[in-house]
Amino acid sequence: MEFVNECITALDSYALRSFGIGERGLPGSTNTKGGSPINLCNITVLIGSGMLRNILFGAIALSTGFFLALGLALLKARDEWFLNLPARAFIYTFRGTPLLIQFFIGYLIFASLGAGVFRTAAYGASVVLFFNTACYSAEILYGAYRAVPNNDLDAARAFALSPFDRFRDVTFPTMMRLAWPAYTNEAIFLFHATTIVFLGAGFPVRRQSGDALYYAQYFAERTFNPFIAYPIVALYFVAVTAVLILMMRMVQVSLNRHLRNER
Amino acid sequence: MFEYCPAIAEQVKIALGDESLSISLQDRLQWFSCYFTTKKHLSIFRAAGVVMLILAFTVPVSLFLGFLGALGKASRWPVISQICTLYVIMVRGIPDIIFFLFVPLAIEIGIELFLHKVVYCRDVVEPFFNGVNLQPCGEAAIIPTQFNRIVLAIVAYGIVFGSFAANIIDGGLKAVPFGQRETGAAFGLSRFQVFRDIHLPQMWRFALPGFSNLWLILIKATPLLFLLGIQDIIYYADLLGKMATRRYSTYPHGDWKLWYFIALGVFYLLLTMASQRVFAHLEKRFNKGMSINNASSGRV
Repeated sequence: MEFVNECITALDSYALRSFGIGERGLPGSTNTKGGSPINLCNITVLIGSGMLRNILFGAIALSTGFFLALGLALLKARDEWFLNLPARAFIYTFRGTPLLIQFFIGYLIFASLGAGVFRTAAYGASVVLFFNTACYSAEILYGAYRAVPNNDLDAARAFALSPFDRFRDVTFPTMMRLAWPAYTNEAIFLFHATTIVFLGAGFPVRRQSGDALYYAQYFAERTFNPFIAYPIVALYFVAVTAVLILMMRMVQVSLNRHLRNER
Repeated sequence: MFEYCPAIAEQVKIALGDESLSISLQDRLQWFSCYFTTKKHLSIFRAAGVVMLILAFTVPVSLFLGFLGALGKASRWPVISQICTLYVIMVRGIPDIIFFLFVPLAIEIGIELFLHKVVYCRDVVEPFFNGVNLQPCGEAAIIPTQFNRIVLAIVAYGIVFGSFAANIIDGGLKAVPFGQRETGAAFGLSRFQVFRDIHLPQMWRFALPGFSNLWLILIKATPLLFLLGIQDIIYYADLLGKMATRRYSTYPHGDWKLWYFIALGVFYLLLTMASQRVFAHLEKRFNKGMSINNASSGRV
């Protein structure tokens, strides 16, 4: 019974701590007023709260990055060199450099521009993640674009579809269908990549509102015990990755529903 | 480094403080040649070497673990095959950085526990595991040195990339047509001979695109060494890029962090570019004389 009470208190104080809502001091903090003791409930709830941040980062970057990726992929597929060369260079730069360094450069650029909110992890890191995932996805979509069967396009031309209709009704659906398995991988890895935002990637952590791994590291350092916090954060990631795979799989089934064998 | 350095550093320092003095292009170039060869800068070049060294050590470790995982997955004993399957799919569910943080710490604590229980503090009453806290006694607590950290990092990288490699090797082994092995058996080769002479050599061809991918991922994962407390190129770029004031530094300059990090970006870009070339070349060689030339899409 006491355990349940403890957990309710933990939920109350720390469920939204990663967004700055709730108890000010983290569990086990000694210098701030009102810090609660470190127990399993607090650890689980606080890491879960950080997990919401990871999910938010991933969701925003993926959903917005997709549109830039589509644009970049189509640009890269054009024959004119002045259209495909910039797209190519942009994609190559982001795919060829490590994300951590992109975070550092992003932060320094935002700082030198004096762009207020973008110097915080929440906004600045989102922008970097957006560009990063857009480039990786663009490469996937470009590959899929090139793999669209010519016969399909010939058939569309034979039906006198306009170029726009041809793209909307033939190229795009086929492209998505072909790209989807690789895109699922990209979504998973992007989601995993969100964990390095708060681990000293340039962006300062304000008021200790970090992500799942930030809190896990906090507990591991505070208690000198990695065997509780890290497995918990790992389990959270396994669970969310499983849900993500399931969701992407559902989309894939619906993309392939007209095909008999490739579900 | 060079003989003219102290003089040129002094001259530029004075010129920076005085608006009326200008610095000639030649002086500027000389200044940079001195600046980039200071002791601190030589250590960033050494750190780049350390990164390469870690890469070089990680590859055999992860290949070994990868083979262990892939072969274990196909094992006839369910316990082994289940453990190996878990190992193979592990990195798909859990971000690699968690392993990088966890594994070195876990090994360190394992050693501490050993020292605490067996070597030093057998008569200490306080337990090692105290609730959620871990408390090794004074003598058993170890403070990791740079070298230890690097070794532990290689182990952690090996485990994570071994899991990726196991995935690729598993796929490669499965991609070899069954008829090939069947033919080997029909020629009277033993199971081991079939594996060594027919199955394994062909696996490489199918696995190469996957390994090329993995190598690029590994290169791009090396900056994470910085997060493990290793003084790598990011550490030094952060240190050297900081503004150096005229008062405390021989080579004063503004905040050059952005330039340092862009240089790091270029370094990694060149590294990935060169690797891609090498792998493209290898792929061509491996597929020479094969009847099927579009065998693998390279997706892992």
